[in-house]
Amino acid sequence: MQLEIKELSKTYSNGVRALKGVSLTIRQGMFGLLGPNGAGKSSLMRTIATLQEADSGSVQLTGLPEGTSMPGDLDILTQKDAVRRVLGYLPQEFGVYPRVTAEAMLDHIASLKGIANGRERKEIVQGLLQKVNLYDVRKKNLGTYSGGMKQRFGIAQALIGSPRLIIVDEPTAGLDPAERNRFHNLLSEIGENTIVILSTHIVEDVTNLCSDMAIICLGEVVATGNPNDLVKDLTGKVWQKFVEKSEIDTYRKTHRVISTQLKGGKTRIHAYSEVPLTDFDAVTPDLEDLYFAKITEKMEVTTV
Amino acid sequence: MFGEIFKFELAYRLKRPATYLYALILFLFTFLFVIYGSGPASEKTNINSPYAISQFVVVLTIFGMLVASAIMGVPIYRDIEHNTKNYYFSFPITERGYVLGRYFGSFVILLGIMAVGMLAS
Repeated sequence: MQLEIKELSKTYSNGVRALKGVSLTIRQGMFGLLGPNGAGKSSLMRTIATLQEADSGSVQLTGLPEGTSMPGDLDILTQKDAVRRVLGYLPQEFGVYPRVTAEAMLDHIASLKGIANGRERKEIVQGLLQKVNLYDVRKKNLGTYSGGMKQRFGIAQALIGSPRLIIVDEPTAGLDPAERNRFHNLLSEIGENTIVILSTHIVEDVTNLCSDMAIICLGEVVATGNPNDLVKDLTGKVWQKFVEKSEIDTYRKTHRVISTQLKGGKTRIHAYSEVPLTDFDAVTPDLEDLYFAKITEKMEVTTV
Repeated sequence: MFGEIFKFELAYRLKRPATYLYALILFLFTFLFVIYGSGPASEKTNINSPYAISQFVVVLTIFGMLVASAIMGVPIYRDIEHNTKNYYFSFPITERGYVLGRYFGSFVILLGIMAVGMLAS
């Protein structure tokens, strides 16, 4: 089972080109999508989630196993209903009906997703509520939930009906560290036999969770592959130096500074160079360096 | 599809206090008018004559319009108002099932409220 995105483009009516010929192949497992704000991550995910149309290009879900609603291949842009039967989508921003209990709402969603048997539905809902740690508050109205609880409700909503394609857009925003770990464990458990697309701007999450990733910037894919391999390619090309804040601009002119960070009152700059830089120390690159190195190729990043 | 959304809409409405409040207001409004004899019947007609009742029902429906706009205005708008549209539309629902289910769910409730109002006359 894999998801093939080919030359996907989208221009909004206000002239913003959100996607410029995005091509990706996403295999089973967790796939991390990194990118700065406004890079087109959400546009891409909404398109895959059948919520918006693309101008050109194709998205295909191939090799769906037997037992799902439509075994075989699916064209996401045209066979929307069939795709929605195997889809779990957690949007970046969402709301809830304030005067419905979590249990009732999940039950309704389960029936919409085609689980007709009442008892089976109840079991699934109870199981999910337990998984996302909302079992104790299942009888409370959704309007009384805190931000983190709402987020967990959103996660439960996306996981109903054992979806084959799970798209989660910044799922851990607003979760405390314990809940975040819990969610990551839940995701990696599910990720074994489904496609999970995880968009985030927490670089660390991708390192920990994803076997595959892509970096998107200004509507284009700038890097794709296994995070460890990508970082390995960068070995020996990232250099660091501690400088005064006022010197940053001069360094920017002479070097390719990829990131600047305050460390104990001094500013640490990371620069990208294929040859060793004088006065700079070598560092072992991590995914964050890769991220900044790729992003700075496309646009100016100011962090200090 | 229609059935599920219809049932959900009914249950949602029946849990809202506003539904009962509308029904109560219409009921009291009609009830008080009729017991004080301030209906449309003149001195020489019976208060409960078919003519008087039908005249009063007309008056009642004018107020019913306010209730109708409050009830029928939101079934679809609710998904935009509460921002549930972002995931609700990623479920395998059909447009027809969704719109009609929501519409008739609220419509049945509205019929119920109006019936309670009529009951008083």
